[in-house]
Amino acid sequence: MAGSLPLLDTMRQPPGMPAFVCASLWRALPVILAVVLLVLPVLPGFPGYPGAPNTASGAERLTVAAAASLQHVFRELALQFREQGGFREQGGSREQGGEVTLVFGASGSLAHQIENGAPYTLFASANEDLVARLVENGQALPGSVAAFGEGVLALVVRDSSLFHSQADPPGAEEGGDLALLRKGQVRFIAIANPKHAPYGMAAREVLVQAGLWNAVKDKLVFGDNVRQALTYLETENADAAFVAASLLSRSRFPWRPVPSSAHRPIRYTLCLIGGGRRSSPGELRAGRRFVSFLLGQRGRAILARYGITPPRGTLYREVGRPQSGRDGS
Amino acid sequence: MNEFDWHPVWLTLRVSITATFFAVVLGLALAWLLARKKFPGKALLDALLMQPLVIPPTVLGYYLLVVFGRNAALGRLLEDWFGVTLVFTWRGAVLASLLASLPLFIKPARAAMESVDPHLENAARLLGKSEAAVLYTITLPLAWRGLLAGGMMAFARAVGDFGATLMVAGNIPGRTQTVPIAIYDAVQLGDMDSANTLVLLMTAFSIAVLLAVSRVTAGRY
Repeated sequence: MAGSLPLLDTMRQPPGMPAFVCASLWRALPVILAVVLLVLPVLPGFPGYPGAPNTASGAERLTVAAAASLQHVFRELALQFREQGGFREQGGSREQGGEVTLVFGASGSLAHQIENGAPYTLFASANEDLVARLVENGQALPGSVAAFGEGVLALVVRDSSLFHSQADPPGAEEGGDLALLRKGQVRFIAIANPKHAPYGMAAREVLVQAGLWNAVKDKLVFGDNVRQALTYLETENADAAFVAASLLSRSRFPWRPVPSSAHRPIRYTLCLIGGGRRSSPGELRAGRRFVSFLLGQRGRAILARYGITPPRGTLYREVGRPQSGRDGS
Repeated sequence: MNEFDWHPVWLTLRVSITATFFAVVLGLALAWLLARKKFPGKALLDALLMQPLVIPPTVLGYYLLVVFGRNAALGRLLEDWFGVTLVFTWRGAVLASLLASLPLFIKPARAAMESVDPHLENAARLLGKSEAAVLYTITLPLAWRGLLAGGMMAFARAVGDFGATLMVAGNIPGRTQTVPIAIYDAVQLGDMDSANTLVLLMTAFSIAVLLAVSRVTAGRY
């Protein structure tokens, strides 16, 4: 290549090429390309692009993988955590309270991603078995596992007349509401994918137990996670959906809780992902701070506000349970 | 409730500019090989390079995971020797969009090189220029319209890659969430405001690229 460079001086402007592209730029091109090629691999990206994640220091950053049903709760938790001072030691500057990056998805998918090396530090699952699996496989730090609540499965409908046209009195118990799924005007029922989403598994159990599975099987549409199942309903493409009550605090659609006796309890369980180079000590420290905020008084109040009740009878250390037993609100 | 998140836009630019750069460097060599050389297996190479245009992006993503995953031989080698992890990082997104956009550069680039009159090249050879000089002073300058159009198409494709990127790099806000993935995520999470903004942005960008490409190619074809 080097030998060819002097020859460029004899180059004429090729037909059709604008003059400004031609002479000087074209001649300098190999040099420019060579420099870029040498420099690119060592660049960590374009340094300092607006709002670039500060991966270099790593200490003040926390990536949380949370069940899709926790979308609203965890956004609020992260917000209040920041306001409270975030990862900083007491009395530290509140300017940069610490960035919490939230990743939402079906708990089963998130667990699978963690098993394949996804860079999450904290995992908040809607299914305790998944956490148990991560502990068994060595991805979760065993001492970090904690149950923090129980979720409520809810049946949402597009049109409130679906609830009312039933003969049952309002708030009918056991299966009264479920019968509406048989109606002809209910063409699509959205549930989360039962293969990897805890609320999808619960919805399937409810339908099977009520003897409705075969009757409504062809009406079911699967969302990748419970939030997507709700989106199908909110965009009014589905007529009914089984979702998490924690997603419905501001919903304009009518909904009723499904009796929790109809399915295995949905137990929210969290764990830190550690071991090897997975999470840096700084990230784990940040994770612990967030966990203690979540399990503390303010965190529990937020969880309760979104209808996540304190955990009962879990495999793990019980936390967040008021002294006086169950608290309805 | 919250302001618009620009992270995906910056990340997408970073990923697609890097991917396009490598697609052009790699693509130039491959297009030249296909346009000017005869060798056994040429048709097969061509077919393989065009694969990303026809196979499902999930298949491409799957191959990348199998070859470059953290449990795969090559992926482990990269990680242990060079400290480069592709899965769940923006580099993985670069690799996915590089492969997806490569054929879009090669096709017009090859056509443009083939359309250069071989007599001009031979004349240069008779005047004593080396092969490299012929390529650089005759072939490439005469094929510039096709090369530029190919580069723009490759860039647009890299910006738009979804399936393979999602499989290799995942969906991590601020780290691997490019614009197409952010749109998918926003729709999934019921955040229609962000989805609308990003969709409009992508649509305007794609139309602009196609208009630019037709302007560049208008003079020749």
